[in-house]
Amino acid sequence: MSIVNSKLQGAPQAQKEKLAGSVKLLLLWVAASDGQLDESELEFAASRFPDTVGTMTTDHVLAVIRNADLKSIEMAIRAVAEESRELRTAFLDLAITMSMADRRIAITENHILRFYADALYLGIEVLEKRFQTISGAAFSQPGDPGSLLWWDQVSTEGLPEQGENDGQAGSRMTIEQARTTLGVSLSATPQEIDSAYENLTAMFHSGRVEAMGEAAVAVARERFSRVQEAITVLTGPGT
Amino acid sequence: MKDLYSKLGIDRSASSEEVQAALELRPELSDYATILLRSEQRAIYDSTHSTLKMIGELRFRLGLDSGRSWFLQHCADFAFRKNAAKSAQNTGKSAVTDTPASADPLPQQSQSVAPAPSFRPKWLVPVVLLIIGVIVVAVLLR
Repeated sequence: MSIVNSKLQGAPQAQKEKLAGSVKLLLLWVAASDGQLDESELEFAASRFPDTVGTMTTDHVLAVIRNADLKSIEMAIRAVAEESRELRTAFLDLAITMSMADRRIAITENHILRFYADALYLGIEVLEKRFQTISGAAFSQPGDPGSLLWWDQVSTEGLPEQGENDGQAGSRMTIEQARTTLGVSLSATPQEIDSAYENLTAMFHSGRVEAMGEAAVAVARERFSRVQEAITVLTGPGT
Repeated sequence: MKDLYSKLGIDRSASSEEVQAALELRPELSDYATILLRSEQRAIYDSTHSTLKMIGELRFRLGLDSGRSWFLQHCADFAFRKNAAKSAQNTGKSAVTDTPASADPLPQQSQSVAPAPSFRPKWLVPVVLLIIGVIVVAVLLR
């Protein structure tokens, strides 16, 4: 999908596989955290994360999450934490992308993103900035389902939504959805749209993503195609 | 978020009947019936509860349990500490109260956890064990 950094090609195979398995586990935790792992989620995981020889199988990864196997999660986050700052940031971008896959970021996803940002030595400030860039919305406080007040709010306002709207599968993206996909405001100038597009393209179309293995590439590819669709909606085909 | 299960002294896997019975014993917590006895609400509460439990222990293991994105998120009930049980009135600002031992036994490793405020480097326990081991071997070989 892109030019692989020559340095990364030289990395020992075992280490690359360890990183790929770790990234897969951590991204799947984001996806699976907001509820029980049901059939549709298994399908979701299987379609997005094809098993590849050498890395952890998707079944294995899901078992780790289902059984709250903290030792494995700890090892995974430590493996990513050893990487360069650029790669750690690229991982956080993917985790943010993953959390927005279902239209709104769940409370559990919010907590996990905060945990990743801290565990990867990036901190909440970087998380807030990256989230704003990727979703066009501010990173909010997580909701509190243990609070009666919060439930009162939910019952009057509905569950808070954050980030881009996903649109029905197959339907064309609206201009509003395209703008949130690119993380630009409704009043953005064509120059601002172009630079947002370039930033996002560079973010998801880099050797760093490839270095993180197949799961990372799958998430980036999906996001990339949505960004492509958004720019087509906003500027017309051929740009 | 409050850990309602530990306050009620029941497990997350408790049935609605068990929750009901526990709530009857603690009338001051009866308002929470609207969360724990409605399956839709409880599902959201439970997934958050299990995720926070995991994050709490992971943060402890990685030495990240004092970051502002953790403690300011009213997550104190899920900090992985011995005697983590808090009173119902505790809003979780910072105090670690000496309430009776946690009603929900923490998973493995809890015996190696330091008392709340003191900080112990990760290497201390293995090093001490190693020294003790060497002494024992030396005594036995003499």
